[in-house]
Amino acid sequence: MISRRTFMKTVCLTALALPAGARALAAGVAERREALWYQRLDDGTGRVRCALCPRRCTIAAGGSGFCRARKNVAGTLTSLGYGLPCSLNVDPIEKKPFFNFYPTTRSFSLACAGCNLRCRFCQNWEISQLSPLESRNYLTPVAQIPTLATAQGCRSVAFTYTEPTTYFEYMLDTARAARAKGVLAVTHSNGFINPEPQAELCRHLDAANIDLKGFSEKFYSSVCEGELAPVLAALQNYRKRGVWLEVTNLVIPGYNDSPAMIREMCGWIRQNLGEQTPLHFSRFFPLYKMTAVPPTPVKTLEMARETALQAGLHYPYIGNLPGHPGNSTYCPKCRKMVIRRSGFSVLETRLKGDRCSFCSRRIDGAGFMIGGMKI
Amino acid sequence: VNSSRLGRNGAARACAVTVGVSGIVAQTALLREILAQFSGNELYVGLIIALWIAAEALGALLAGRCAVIRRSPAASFINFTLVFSLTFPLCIFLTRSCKVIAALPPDQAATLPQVITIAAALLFPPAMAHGAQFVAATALFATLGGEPQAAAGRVYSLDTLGTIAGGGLASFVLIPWCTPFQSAALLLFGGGAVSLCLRWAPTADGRRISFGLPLILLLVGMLLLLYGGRLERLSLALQWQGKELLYSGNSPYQNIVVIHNQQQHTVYTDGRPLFTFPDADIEAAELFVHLPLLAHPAPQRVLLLGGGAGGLLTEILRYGSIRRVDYLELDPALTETIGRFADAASRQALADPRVKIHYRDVREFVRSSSDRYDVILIGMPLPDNLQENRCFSVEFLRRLATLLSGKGVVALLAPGSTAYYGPEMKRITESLLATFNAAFAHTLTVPGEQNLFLAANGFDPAELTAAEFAGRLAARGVRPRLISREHLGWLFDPTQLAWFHDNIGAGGVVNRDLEPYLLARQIFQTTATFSPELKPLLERLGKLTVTSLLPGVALLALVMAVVVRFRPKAALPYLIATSGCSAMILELALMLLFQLVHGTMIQTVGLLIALFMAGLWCGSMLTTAARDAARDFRWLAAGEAGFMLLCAALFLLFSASGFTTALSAAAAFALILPLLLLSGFLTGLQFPPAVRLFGGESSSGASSRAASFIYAFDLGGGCLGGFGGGLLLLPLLGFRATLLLLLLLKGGSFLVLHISAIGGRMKR
Repeated sequence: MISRRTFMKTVCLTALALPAGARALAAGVAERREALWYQRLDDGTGRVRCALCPRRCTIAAGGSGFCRARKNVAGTLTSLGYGLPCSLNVDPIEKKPFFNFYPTTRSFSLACAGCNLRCRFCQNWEISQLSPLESRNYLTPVAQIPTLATAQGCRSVAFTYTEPTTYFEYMLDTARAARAKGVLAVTHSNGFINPEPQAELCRHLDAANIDLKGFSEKFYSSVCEGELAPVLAALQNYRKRGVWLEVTNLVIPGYNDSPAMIREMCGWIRQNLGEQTPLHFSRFFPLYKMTAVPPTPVKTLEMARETALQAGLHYPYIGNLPGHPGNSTYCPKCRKMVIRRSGFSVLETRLKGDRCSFCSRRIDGAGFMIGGMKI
Repeated sequence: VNSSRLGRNGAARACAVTVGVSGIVAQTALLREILAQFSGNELYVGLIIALWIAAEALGALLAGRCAVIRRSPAASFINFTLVFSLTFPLCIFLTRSCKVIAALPPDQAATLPQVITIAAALLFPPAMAHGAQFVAATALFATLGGEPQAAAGRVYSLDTLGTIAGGGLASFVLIPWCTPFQSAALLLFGGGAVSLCLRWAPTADGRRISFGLPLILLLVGMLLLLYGGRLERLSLALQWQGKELLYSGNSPYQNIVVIHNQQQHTVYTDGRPLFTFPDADIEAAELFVHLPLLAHPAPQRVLLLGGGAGGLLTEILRYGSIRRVDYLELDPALTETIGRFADAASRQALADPRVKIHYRDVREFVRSSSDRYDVILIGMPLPDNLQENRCFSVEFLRRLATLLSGKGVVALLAPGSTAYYGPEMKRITESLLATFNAAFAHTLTVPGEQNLFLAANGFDPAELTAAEFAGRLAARGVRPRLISREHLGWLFDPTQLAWFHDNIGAGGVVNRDLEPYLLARQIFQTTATFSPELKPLLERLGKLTVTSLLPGVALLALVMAVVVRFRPKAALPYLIATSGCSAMILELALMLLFQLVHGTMIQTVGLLIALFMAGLWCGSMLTTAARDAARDFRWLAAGEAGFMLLCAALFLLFSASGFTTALSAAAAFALILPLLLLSGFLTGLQFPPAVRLFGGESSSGASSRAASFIYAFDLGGGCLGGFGGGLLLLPLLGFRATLLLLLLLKGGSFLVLHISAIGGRMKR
């Protein structure tokens, strides 16, 4: 007779009681690339310490870092995503978003699985919360990428969708190869990276869009499992090293939308990154684990943009809200609209070269001359 | 003596009925609350019901072992009623405040293990007390003299009657009109009144029940009635931490809440944001409306299946050519709420003379309509349950195709990606594509963060270029915010299309009425999103087939066949559990079939459940009185044979091609309703004889122990059937394979019953 305990257990667990078996991994034909920026710990355990991001994971032999993208293979830290992007696509550069950098050009966008944060609102959680060992990948050697990009009419290669820091070596080599062929290298990153590897990266990068997810340590720790301070340091470093910088802030109602927080953030950007830094306030929609948070009210986004303007920032934008005047670029001097956008489409421009056609003030950024713009 | 006997009988009957009423009222109310708190889907419904039944079974089992219940059943019944009636409102309060208590973020999804833990902690106290109430009521009947063996059967049938009545009461009166605290007050009054009746009805041992406990029940009920409003406000504030709540209410279909924030109103249904005013999701609304309307040369008649208030109607009405929009929405309370809280433009759109709102089931409307439409927009989200899956099956789409005018086009907007398709998203998208391809001559997918499917029979939408769309847009003088010549250029960029087709193949599984593949994948996708640790388990479950399950079922029968050679009685719980499981799955399958053919409104679901329960009641009444063991054995065997015949008949029926669409509504009534009655009847038939055979010819104590034990297995089987069958077997394997599995399951228990020869041995 079935014992009562077994019976109750079956009833309670039903479908969940089935044994979880070993997971079948889609093992890619990975190029075993040794990672940069780590030390072997000389304690005879075969452990290594990754020095790439502020987490500084200590990884036991056979184990992987927090990002799932860097694995200790017999005492050697391996970059699992190298040559194995899971995403390859062509996007308008405005979609990254870059609004003051080579507008209307196409960007060859790629990503390898993995991320060093755990944002509960992640848009690309299907790949960011995965290891390159688990994702379906395209075997793509570095040398192919500039050729693919130019063949698709792309002006730049973008490291995006997931966190590019986790595939640092692939990003670095690809950026170098792209630039050698006259293709620009841009990244959209969370800025959670250590200063030394960042300095190395900056030498090969043309532009970066960094998420400033909220302006408090509490937000970073409770919603992203990260820290704010290293992100701020990374932002300053990008600015210092002359990489064109745009900042994105996803405004989540009830989490990072207080006027005080936004004011403080805008002030910090103005002071540390400069008035020319474009700041994209992005509208939130219920996503991933944040399913019951309402969409950001338009009034909140308008308030944020107004705050940024008052803080002296020249290019605050409103994103994820097509058709709003905040999608467009305005001349900092005469306040006239110089690039009219809806969503990521450029509908009209009022520029003479890189200058405002009304008052001739230079519009900050780069690449306004190209891309078939109507001037 | 006669009159006091009559009084006792009446009081005992009232107790049994109260158990049924209060159980279903509390279960539905808590189900609603937990769903709204955790933004639950069908998986959660199954889970919550399974937990409730498991707790009831545990309560019944434990109470069955309690000697004190047999000594003073009336006092025990009142005690359990008190525990149940007090824990129910407490649980409502705790459900609403559980995220504060557990320090979970208020508006973020919890993982499945978190939900299970919290739901179990919340449901177990009232549900266990409720299970114990059943046992106490049985003991009460047993002390009334007459046949102790008949007591369980009688309580079972009265409890069933109470459940039918309570189901109606909950669906049509309590949920739409009362707060859960008012419902709890009502149950307290009911419990108090019944307890007072017991006070006046003398018990077997001559001792009278004190006034104290019944009065406490009535007093707490009174307090709850007085302060329920305050509790309601306080608990809602805890549930919606930090949000400004404008409205909260329940319709028979769902929980509706409106939140205000910075001049923006967001309407939530069952805890999930559905519509936002005044600024909807512009990107989705414009993509979904303008492309299909532009694909038609001159759209005049539009059929909008759900989702109209989310900016769709306003976008549709921008076109001057539109003469009529038929907008389907199931829940009048939802449009009423929207009417109250939407912005002026959305309200205007709802009141526009060209818009006709139909409060009808989509499938039923589509089946009975003979109108022709230029554009049909499927505005419902992808299916979360079998009922919704009916509107995404190839059978439904084929029917939809007959409503199209010559150049008519059908559109659906579904989640997509421009970066990566995970395995489940890939399967879901491929299934949608395959289903559209199977129903229409031409399907065009416009890929993006959301994929737009455009399907037609009269022309090929894929022949339209971005330039043609842009030209029509300009010619019609419509100026959307997002859709422009430039944006259309990107939407139709060859690299995007190539990338999509590189990721999404043509070999997807077609979603069918009786093989709801899309639903199974949707459930898996949602679960994996919130509980990534379950991914490996889900991967394995996803690979289940009927051939991988059949050996398990056969092995179980084999093991039981050996066990009953030594312990014949073991056949009984096995038989009752498999019957409970089969009956639940059959009930689900028949209800779904009825909905497929007839279309549904919540009232018909109530009718179907009532019908099943009525069958259950008839069955148990028929066999309550029988006493001879050989005869009991025959009842059980007849039940088994009946189950097998029913499964076989349904298997054959489901094998007839296209019958879900061919069957008329009248035929559905004539065919399915008797079958539902029959499956209930077979379940009810077996319970009393099984209890008698299990308890043997012994005292009332043994009989009530036996009743509680068998009852627990009945509930356990039902719970397995409801959860595993509704969520796993029917969606994943399809209806026919599931029936095959049930046929084998009941075949096994039929054989085991005969091997045990339990009736014959008892007689010897």
